[in-house]
Amino acid sequence: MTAKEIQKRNAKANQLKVIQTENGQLFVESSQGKIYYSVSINDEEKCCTCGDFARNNKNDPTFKCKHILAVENSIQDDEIESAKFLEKNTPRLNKDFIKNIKGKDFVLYAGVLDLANQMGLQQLSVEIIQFPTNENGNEAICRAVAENKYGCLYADVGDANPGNCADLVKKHIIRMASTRAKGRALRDMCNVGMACLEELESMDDVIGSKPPAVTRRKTEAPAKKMATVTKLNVAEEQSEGSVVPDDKKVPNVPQVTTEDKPPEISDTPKPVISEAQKRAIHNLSRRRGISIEALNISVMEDYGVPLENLSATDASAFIRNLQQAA
Amino acid sequence: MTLTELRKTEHLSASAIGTYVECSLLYRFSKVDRLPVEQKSDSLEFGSAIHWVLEQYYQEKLIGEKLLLKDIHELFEKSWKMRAEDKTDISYTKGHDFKSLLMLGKDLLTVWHQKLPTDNFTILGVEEAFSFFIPGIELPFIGGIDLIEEDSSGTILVTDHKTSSRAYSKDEVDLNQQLTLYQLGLKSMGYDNREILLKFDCLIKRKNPAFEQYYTTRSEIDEHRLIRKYAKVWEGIKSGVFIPNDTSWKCPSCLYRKACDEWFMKGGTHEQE
Repeated sequence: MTAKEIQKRNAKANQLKVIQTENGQLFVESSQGKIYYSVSINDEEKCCTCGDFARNNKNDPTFKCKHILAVENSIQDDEIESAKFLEKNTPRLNKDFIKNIKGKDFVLYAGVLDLANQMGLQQLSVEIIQFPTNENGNEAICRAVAENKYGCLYADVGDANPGNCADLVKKHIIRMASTRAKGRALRDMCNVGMACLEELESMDDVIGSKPPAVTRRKTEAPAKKMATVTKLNVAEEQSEGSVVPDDKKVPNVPQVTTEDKPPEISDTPKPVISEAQKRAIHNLSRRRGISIEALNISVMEDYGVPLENLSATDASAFIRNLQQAA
Repeated sequence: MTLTELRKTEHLSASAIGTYVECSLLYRFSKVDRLPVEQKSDSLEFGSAIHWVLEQYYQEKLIGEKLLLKDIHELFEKSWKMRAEDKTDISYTKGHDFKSLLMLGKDLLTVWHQKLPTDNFTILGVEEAFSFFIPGIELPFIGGIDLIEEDSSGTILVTDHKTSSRAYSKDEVDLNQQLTLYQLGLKSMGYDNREILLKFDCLIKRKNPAFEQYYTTRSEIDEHRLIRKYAKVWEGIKSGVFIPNDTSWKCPSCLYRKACDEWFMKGGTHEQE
């Protein structure tokens, strides 16, 4: 490259805007301001996606287009702006959350919650209308209200009693009524016609003597996680404490019934994931653009347990996997 | 022995090796010839001032005290004034001067203070010194780890504080050799049977200052690669091989530009001086 060529391109380079995304990728706005070119620059090579670079780099490996020069100048002058991604996001019900049972589709509660979050769920609250007592046949009734990003409210109720619940959840009537109420409110908000799997009177009858482990885990694990994201009122969750005393509650453990827990969680003596490991996983996944929901699904699929129940060793391996993810 | 005392002995460090790999003539000027820098970089001085403040913050936290944002600002002002006020040997980048960096420092520390996640980790060390040998290298590796913490499960968390004008890329974090060396240093200190996590706490000097944490880990393969590479670099240093990398984009801001030009003008004849 001649000095004249560099000078000519440098003059143009000074007018260009350089931005950097969170993952460090550099982009330079075209001189007409219509598109951005990706520029990578390190000690070994300098690369740009523009036509000028493609044409001239073949014959001159030291060639620098105006975009590369703009990046170099910006680094020197500390003028790189940070980019904001405006992700085009079309809300979509993830097929993984749909279960076909005897020819009929059911959506998992976690699925509607996920969809609601995509659609801008602002708030999800639950109120207990009726506590289960002997007098009312141990029937719990909850009312859930979901608020979307436009401030529209969607309310519905859910009921649960020993007669309309699966054997596995009979001891957790309030919890089931709450889930059903939330599921119904969210379905209204998201315009989902199919019923939630959790609304079924007896999954034992439909699915067989015991629900498949994978399906059940998927039902519960993301639901708890997403509930945290939607800022579900903790006090309302704690209202379930009438069933389980506060001091017996285990923090951060998903709301699965005792019978429902995978044996490896309760039986394993392995040390569980540490707080620092959790932070590392969330930090790495955020930097790689992996949503919390996708993260939980990934952990569930790879290790068969929710993130909170990963062993320290598995967490270590998972951190390594995340690190190596593109 | 303190880190300052340790550093008085002849030693190697991750940054020294990095300098050699990037431009070994620069390594020679700074570490072998020990030439004084021709000018002080505002970025380096600014980074040191911020670093000192963060060290004070964690020293206080170590003894159970929590500094307020006001205290942090005062510390920075003191630190920055001590380093830069009325100093004529600092070369400021375009758009910066003593006052603007004073403001930027306070803004950066405000963002850091606001965004730093709260935790109940136990601080094991601040500016914790390490010194250990790598097989095949006669000089010790000496350095200081900005922050060593332990969570309730015994996981060790190593933090290195950085100030940068831009966000770090994935590779800059995951391939960073300073952190790999820290892991080796940590293991030499007796933490070899612990889960070790590494991270950069990066204060980003943008128009809108930002704070970002970058977690990463290192495997035994990473450690092995570093040992092999460093041993080879040491061979180069011992043999007096110092090759200039005069096409680096860092050349315009090099602190030894004159020495480099002189070296080229003399045809490299004072190589053996």
